[in-house]
Amino acid sequence: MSSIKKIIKRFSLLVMAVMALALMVTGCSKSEPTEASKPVTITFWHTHNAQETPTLEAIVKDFEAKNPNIKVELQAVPFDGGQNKFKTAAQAGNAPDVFRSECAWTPQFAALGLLAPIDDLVTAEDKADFLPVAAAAYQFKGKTYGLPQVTDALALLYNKKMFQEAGVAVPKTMDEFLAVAQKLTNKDKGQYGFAMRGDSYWVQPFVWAFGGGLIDINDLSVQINNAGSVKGLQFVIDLKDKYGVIPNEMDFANDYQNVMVGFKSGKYAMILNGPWATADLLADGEFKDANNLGIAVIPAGPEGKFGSPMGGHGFVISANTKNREAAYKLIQFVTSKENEAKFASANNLLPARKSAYDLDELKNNRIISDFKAVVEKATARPMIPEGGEIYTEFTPNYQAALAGKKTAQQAWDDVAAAWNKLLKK
Amino acid sequence: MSTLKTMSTTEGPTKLMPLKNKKIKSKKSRGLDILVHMILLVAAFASVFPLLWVLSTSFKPATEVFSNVIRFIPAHPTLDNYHYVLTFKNSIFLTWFKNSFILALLTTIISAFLAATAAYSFSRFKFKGKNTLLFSFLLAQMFPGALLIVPLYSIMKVYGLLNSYTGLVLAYSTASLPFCVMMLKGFFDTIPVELEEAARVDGLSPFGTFWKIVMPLSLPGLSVTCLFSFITAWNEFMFALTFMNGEDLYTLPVGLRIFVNQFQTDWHYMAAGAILITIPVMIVFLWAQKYLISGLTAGGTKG
Amino acid sequence: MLKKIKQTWVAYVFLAPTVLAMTAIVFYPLILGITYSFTDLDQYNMGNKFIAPSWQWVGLQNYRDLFSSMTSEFWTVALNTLIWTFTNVFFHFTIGLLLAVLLNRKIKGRAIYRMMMLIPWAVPSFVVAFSWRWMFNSEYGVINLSLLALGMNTVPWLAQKWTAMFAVIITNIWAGIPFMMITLLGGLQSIPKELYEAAEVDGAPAWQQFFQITLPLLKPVAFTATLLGTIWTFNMFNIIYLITQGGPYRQTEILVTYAYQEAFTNWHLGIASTYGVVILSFLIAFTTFYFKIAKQDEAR
Repeated sequence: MSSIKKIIKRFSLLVMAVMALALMVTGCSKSEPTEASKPVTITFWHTHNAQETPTLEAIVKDFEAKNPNIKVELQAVPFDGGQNKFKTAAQAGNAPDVFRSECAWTPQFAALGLLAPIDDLVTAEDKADFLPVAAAAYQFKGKTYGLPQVTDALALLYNKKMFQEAGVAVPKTMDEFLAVAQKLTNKDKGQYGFAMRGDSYWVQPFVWAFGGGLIDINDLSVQINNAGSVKGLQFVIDLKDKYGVIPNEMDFANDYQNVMVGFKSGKYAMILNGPWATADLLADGEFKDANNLGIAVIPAGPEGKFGSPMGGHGFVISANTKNREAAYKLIQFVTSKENEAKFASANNLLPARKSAYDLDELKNNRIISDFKAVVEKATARPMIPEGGEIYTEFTPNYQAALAGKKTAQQAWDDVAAAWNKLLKK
Repeated sequence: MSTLKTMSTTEGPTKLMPLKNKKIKSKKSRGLDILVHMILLVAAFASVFPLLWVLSTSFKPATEVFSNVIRFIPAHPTLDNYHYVLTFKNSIFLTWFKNSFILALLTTIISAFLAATAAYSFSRFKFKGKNTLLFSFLLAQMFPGALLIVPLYSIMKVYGLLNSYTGLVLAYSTASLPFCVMMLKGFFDTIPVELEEAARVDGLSPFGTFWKIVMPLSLPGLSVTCLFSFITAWNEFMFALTFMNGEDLYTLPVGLRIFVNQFQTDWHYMAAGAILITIPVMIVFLWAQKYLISGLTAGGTKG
Repeated sequence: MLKKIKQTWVAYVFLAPTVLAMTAIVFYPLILGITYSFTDLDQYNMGNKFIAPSWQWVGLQNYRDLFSSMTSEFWTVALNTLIWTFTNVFFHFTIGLLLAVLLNRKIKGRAIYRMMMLIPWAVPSFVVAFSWRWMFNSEYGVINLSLLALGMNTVPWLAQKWTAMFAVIITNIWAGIPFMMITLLGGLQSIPKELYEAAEVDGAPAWQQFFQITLPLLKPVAFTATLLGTIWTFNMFNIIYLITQGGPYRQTEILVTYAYQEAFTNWHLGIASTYGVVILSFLIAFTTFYFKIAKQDEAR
């Protein structure tokens, strides 16, 4: 009997020794011992479209290979409806561990308490590497809630061939812009120097260029109806009515497609659009030869002011996650410079990390480099919880002004009134 | 008129057959037939035309989707879109198809059961609160359903019905109930009570008369309600998106939305998907219309 | 006495499953939804797993705001809704009836016709919306391109109020006819052919048979279909939302698209529910009125 007892005692000592060793070994890494050794499953909802998804899937597989105790359940969620789907689930405590959140969605999720702060997990190195405007979108009230993955901004896209033929240079100011547009407009041929959308997102650059603003993020004062903003809107209206350099008929419901088709077929010499449009533009038409696509920073206004709305997507971690650190590992991996570069090469999505642009594959990609110049100068939209809702009133009033139903001042005054009401709430 | 009434009570619903066709076709009736064909052709064309554009787009490569020229026959027709839609992500489209089909089928069965039993009550019995209850069914339809998603989500969560067929089937069934109940009630109303009373005398239970006498005579009404429930469930988007987590549980409409991106839509893929979604419904209709138009006089002879 | 009790008991048994399902899934959320209209509930104060709820009762404030702050807009939107609803239902019914009657005749290929005419109903509504939005595209849409080919001027369909209203109404009429047609077809089936035979023997012409036999006997089905059709069309936000988003500059908004914006873009659940109740009231009034007309008709 006693010998068996001895064996048991020795055996348990051995087990304890092994356990102690294991604890020591895992205790050396920064994360908690329990999280590193237990197998965990992270649910990950993403909003990538059909073309971009394979890039993400390959990256996730790579992550799982490198982190055998973390399994990732990847689910695609339609972008259209994604915000509400996350909110509804999160309000009930049912959110996925990781979610790909558009930058305008994030402040709202944070304000609702649906996200887990990650300040303690972000390394200083990473912090410095992300483009400041992009990273700022994932911070709210001084806390960090996510890492940016891709970023974008509106750029001035132009047809280089048409520019050469007319002998014009890329406009740097709004005055030059108007002159170039006029030179490139030929009503008889049905050709216009510029084409505009009836979506208020697209009028923001003009508002900023003429010294206007949207909402001041510090004191939440509404600036949309100040003198500069009105001048910006008036400029666009004049482009249509006074100078005739943009088409008169604006089919608001279909204008995104129409502007793109017109640009691709050489009907329009310049448009505003972002990097997401690259794949479509290079498919055929005037830009089948990618060298013909000119990408420039949007011209500055009379006082040298400039603006281009920044957009983008990043990853957030929900507040009800049980595996915050594993989730962070995942998002850190997906937003590494190599992986962000993969999205750039495969899908024309601009990385949010500065170092990614230095990788060879991107350095030599002319389009990416050109867009980088634009994105570096992008303007943050008001990163407030109501950041997405402001467009509800913004767009109809912009359209009304374009159609001549309201004066520029009236339109922006109405928007200001609506925003004041929105912010009080 | 009294003879007519007796006729209607003993014969039951029968197939409507214009007498004209029984005689030798006169010139006038042939002219009428031609007119009828013309109207139907125009109507059929108008019905099908928008889908023809979708069909044509589904065979176009992405570059051809938008152009200045109306082109129904693509310059470079391709099956790539269909191939892509059917095979991407390990053919998840087929999983969505399975989900949609099971959901729609279950909804149809449950709706039919709930609606028929309820309609029978309303038709045959007088009880307290009958009119109020009937009106409340209508009331349920009047408040925009989309606005109730948030409370409904919490309720579903409490019942543990999220992420399950059961939850969606119940939601869809209750959405189509008011129409189905009122439709079937109308049909049941036309079936004379004497038939049932005779059957009861013969010893049939209340449920027996319901099942064996009343239901067979209401096949046209039943097939309309079945078709309605099926299509409602098949095409529904909002509830499916909100209550189902995980792509393997998505239905076709939700899955198809993946082609709608932030700024633009992948029309060529969406068109292929849309055509694929529409075909099963056509098949279901082909099956259902057998009962819709059939001239069952069998019920009448039992009386 | 026993028979009567037994009978009512059967009624309740037959009703029980449905009433149970409706209460749990429809009536309960509906009551909740209505109570929201008396609160300032929105996404920030509704409370969730992490924040305690902090919403408050505000009585009729939402209603006052609705009627006063959008005085001119509210009535325009309400008027739009009425125009939208009644134009749609009218054409759904008349064209649906015409087609149903025609399809009821024994003609060659009617199964094929029927199937083709079912297509609009078989297509998911967002595909319908996107297809028609494309067809009405002012530059590349098939409608304008056809007009050009015929030597006419193009119409800026979705850029102006009335042309846009026309466009969305046409789309919805197209999408809604099959349902009405099939329903009425089902109703036509239950009219005994003997009635027509007897009328034929009496020498009544076709149109008289239609007005004296078909229409009256179709009334119950027609009543149900048009009543529900009205209610559904009133609340049909899909088509307008996906085609014009209520534009251009809010000119094609109907009550329910407004409500939808408040609910899903702004998550002002209190205000959205207020719209819901307003819609509910309109529809209750209409339904009551419609029932009255039907009863009067029957009495005649």
